[in-house]
Amino acid sequence: MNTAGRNKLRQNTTAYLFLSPWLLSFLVFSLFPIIFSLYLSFTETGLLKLESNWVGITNYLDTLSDPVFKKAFWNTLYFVAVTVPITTVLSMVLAIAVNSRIPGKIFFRVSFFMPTVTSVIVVSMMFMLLYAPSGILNSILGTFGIQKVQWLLDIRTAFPSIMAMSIWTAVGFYMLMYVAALQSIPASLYEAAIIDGAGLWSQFMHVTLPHLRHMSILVIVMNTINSLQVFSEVYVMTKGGPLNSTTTMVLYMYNTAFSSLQLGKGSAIAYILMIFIMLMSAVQMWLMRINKGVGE
Amino acid sequence: MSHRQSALRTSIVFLVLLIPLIVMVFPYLYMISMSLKGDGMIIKSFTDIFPKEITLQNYVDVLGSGPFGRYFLNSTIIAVSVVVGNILFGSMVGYAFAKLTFVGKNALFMIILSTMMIPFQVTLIPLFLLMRELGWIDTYAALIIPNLIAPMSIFLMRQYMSGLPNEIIEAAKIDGSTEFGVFWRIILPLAKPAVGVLIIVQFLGSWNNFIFPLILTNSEHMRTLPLGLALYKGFNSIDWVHMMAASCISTLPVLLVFIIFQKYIIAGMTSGAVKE
Repeated sequence: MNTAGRNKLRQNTTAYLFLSPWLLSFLVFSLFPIIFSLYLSFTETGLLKLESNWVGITNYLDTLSDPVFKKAFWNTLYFVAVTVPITTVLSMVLAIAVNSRIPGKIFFRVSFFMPTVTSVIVVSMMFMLLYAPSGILNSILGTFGIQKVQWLLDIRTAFPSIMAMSIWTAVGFYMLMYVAALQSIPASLYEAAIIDGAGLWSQFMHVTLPHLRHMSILVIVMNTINSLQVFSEVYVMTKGGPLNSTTTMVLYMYNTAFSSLQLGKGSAIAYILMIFIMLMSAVQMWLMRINKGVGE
Repeated sequence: MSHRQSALRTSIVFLVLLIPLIVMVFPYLYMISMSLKGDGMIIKSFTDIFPKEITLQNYVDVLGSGPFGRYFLNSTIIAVSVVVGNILFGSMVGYAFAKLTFVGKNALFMIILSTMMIPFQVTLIPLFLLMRELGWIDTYAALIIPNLIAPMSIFLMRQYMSGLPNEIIEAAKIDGSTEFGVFWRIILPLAKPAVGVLIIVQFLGSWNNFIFPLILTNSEHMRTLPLGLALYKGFNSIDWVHMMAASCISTLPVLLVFIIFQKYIIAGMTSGAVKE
């Protein structure tokens, strides 16, 4: 072997030594689980022993025909359909407000971002306190003569209550993403618009909004992916009740795998969810690209 | 435009921000106030929001006789280990991607980027089975080792280290330094700002994680703060004052760190999404 070849070999060896911790972790904790999960989804696997029977696509068929899965599927879609648009609009409005020349900017930003660094469990606790039958929300409504509502126990209000909390939690994070996008709009564009006699509204429509399109795609896709995976808050606040009205897909998967102890079926649900997430994000990006074409 | 327009603008902005501000901050204030209450939990009117007598007894209860001291210790051990692992391994691998040449570099980097997008629930069941086979259920190892090197850390370090000049590396090599020596004594100290962001992001992620401790632990003494809090509620659902004290204990350290380092935290947490 010549010197150049030996040198190259040495370079590669050094580099792979640097990479080795990740390679090991990737193989054991990412690649293996993904493949193993796919295998499990075609088997009947219990929790107690590692003996699996190959059952083909039975788990997938069982899942898709299970009324609880259908309920969980529609609930999750309902959750996305309500929280994503509201969060997007609110975070955009707040970003524009926070980004303008006002005193105490940082204070506002920090306050809105706080829920992002707070544990979902703590947030759930805070809201359970607010929503408690004898809690503050009911006493505020009571002063207006409105009767007590069992927020988390009533089939009509349980899921909307969780959605409201979820919006509360997410708004600050997406607001900051919009702030980053707003700061990249050149000030000269606004100056030009003002010279052309544009008011605040028309500045927003013709300068701000078109420049936020790219970030909006990112915000909507990220938020949709996160919302499709909603679990912890539902697990803590309602356990999916009352009458499965708050059961989401990940909760359904968790219950199937770790309460009913059907690990094979649980893996099938995980794969269905992953495929669904990928499809949703692909469709969203595609739709927004089309809209962009029409707009221009 | 004037003055009138800008005054109008400022007042609109304040109006838009004031109500959300109250809505955002109120639950925190309410949690703190509740945790300091010595006078029961029943709220009949607005004035009951404020504690009539302020006491730290609830904190003493949950940390002393209650299990939360142990949960706090568990969360700390796990978060610190995860952070140390990510500093070391994240920067090692990030350095390789930023400054070394090797076969398969681009393909491997694409793999790292795609693992950032895998939904957690796909790995949940196999990870649980793996940990059980290894006998790691109910150990710190199960909660630390799979998280020692997050793709996000590699990405963060690689982005930062790419911006460091190659000349210093070459100069050090001429002086006889090994590749690891260059990384350890020259590049890592220069990458301190990125390390700061990494520490915060990984600490928060680990401190607030819920589903993995839920699945990978059985016994009470291995619970982390979020898990302990969620399950504490399970058997004592009306003990609000203690629950809020426990919530404060698990939130206040993080919130303090956040308020002090908010600039870096915001940069770090949005860096995965916002391209420069």
